[in-house]
Amino acid sequence: MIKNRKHILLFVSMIVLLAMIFFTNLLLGSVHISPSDILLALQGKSTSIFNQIVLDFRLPKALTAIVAGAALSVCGLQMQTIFRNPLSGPDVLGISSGASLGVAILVLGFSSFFSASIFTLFGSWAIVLVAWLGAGGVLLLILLVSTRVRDIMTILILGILFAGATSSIVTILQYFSSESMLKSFVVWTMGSLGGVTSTQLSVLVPSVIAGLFITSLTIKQLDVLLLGEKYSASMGVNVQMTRVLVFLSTSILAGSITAFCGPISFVGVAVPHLARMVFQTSSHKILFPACILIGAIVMLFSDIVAQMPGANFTLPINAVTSILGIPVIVWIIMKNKKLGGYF
Amino acid sequence: MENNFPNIVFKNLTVGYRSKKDQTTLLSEISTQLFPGEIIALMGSNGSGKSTLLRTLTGFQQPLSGEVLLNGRNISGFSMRDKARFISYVSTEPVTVGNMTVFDLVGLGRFLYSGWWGNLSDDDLEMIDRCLNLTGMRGFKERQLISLSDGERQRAMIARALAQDTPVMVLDEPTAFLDVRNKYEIIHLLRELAREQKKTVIFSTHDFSISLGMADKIWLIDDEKLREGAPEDLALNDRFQTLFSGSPIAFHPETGEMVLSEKPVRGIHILAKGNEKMWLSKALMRNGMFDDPQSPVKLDVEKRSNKPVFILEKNGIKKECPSIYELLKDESLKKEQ
Repeated sequence: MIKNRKHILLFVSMIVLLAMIFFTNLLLGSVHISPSDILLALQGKSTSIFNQIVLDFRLPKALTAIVAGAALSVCGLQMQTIFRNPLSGPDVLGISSGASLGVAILVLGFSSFFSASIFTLFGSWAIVLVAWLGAGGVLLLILLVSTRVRDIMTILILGILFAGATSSIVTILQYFSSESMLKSFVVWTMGSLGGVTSTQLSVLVPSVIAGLFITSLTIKQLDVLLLGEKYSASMGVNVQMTRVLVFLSTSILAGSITAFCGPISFVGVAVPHLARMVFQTSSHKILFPACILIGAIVMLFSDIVAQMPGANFTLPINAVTSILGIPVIVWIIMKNKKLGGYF
Repeated sequence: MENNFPNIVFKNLTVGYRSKKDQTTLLSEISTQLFPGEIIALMGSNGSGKSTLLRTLTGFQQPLSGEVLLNGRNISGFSMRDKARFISYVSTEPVTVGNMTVFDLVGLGRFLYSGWWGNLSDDDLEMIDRCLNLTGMRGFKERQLISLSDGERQRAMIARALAQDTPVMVLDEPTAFLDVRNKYEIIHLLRELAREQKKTVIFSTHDFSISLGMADKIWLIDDEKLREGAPEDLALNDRFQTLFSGSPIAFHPETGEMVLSEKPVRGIHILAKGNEKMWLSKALMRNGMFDDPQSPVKLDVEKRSNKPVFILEKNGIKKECPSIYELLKDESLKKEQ
């Protein structure tokens, strides 16, 4: 079928683009390293200082960008379908703030010993776990509310309120914490793509793969859910089960990324729309891999912008994704004219 | 024409809502059955329980008491998937999903049959093609749902339900948003599907004359009871009055139409015949007059260059009117003699 051929072509070009931007990302940084040196370093053949810079710093950062972009975008995709709301995303509905709250309670509430172990493998797993719980808690609240309230606007506003509530709890926790705890928490909040260590990456990557695997179990159901829950039930979809799976994978994906990279806004909302725009389909079979690819590309690109090639400073990644993501969201709103419109 | 084994059986079915404290009964003690190849129109005023009955029939809601049997088995024993193999459903709300084509939509109907990630087998593709043909949507295969008219979208939704390949189809007000032509065409399509595909089709509707003309059977909800029968049975048993109780409108059993229920007070003798007589008496009836051969006031029609001219004769004076509208405005018709 012609349509499939078009999709294959698009996927191939996306993969090529991803490879190019991945390499460009490795190439750019405050220290100038030539492409050939990068290739040598990647093969482990370089003996110079470049080896260290590439393998210990730039490569983990680029991998983190790919993983974060993919995870957040897939989160946004499934949330938009499940809530039938084009503006859903992990950050918009307070899922990311929930994850932050989990981490804040762990770091500020429990551990003077934790301040030291935040970068160890045990510490990494603990942080990811509480982030999942925090994200899951907020998501559960929203799911409960959305079974009672159908109105999209109301749910969005409630999401904003939840986000506000969680961040004020975090502020209160900070207020009552000791100096050392506060320091380790602030270190965490400043976490960015570049702050993720190889140890943390060894927790992040399997978590995200697990989350994406769970998502892949719901692909067929999500297509039907576009028609709404009533139709889905009448067509034999186990709506409850699908909700639980989406809930699990969203908590794992958004929680893991927030745990290590801090809150990253708007990627989750914007990328699914880019994927729909590029691939012109509503089928999750296509949109799921498309979101992974486009999410990774967007995140690598944002990271390049954050590096400000040629300059000696780095912008916070969250600021860059907001600046790039907000126009997309404005475009969605303008296109739909009203928020109740469909995507 | 019918198989003798009923698809759907209601046994002493009572439907309504149950809240924590009390329960509201909408329909009580219904016992009836439906056969393959029938099309049934479910009628009743707003709030009479049409949607609740449909929800109970499709297993989305528990009955207050009694049983719904599908193919002889109680519906409560059906899994979600089993139910979806038996009943397909089309709701009232228009579905618009961006980037979704008619083909995609109908393909979703194959949910229970398609593979992992919704891959469609050759059998699935053949079925989708058949459903698009049956609903006349073949040419719209690649069109996006949002670009369809309301009538086309309803056809696409019906094609989707057909692709589910179920012996029973339930539609909640399928004609609600459609213009007159599309209303008739959609119900006609459903009727053909019932006949040719041997399906049981149940639809709720407010479109009185369409149901009267097209349904094999009408289910009329009347004060917690389900009156059923061929449309003509209900008309002859004076059942339709219930739809208009307390309103100035009444069902006129002689014409099968709704009319103002005020009694006509003045007689006019209609000399015209056939079509013209029928329409003249309608116009008179709306204005409180009826056909009375004893009346000295007479109405006739003459054809002049193929156009009717209406002639009003009163006290020997003839007056000509070019249209019924003008005729009704005429003072001498209005006044008593």
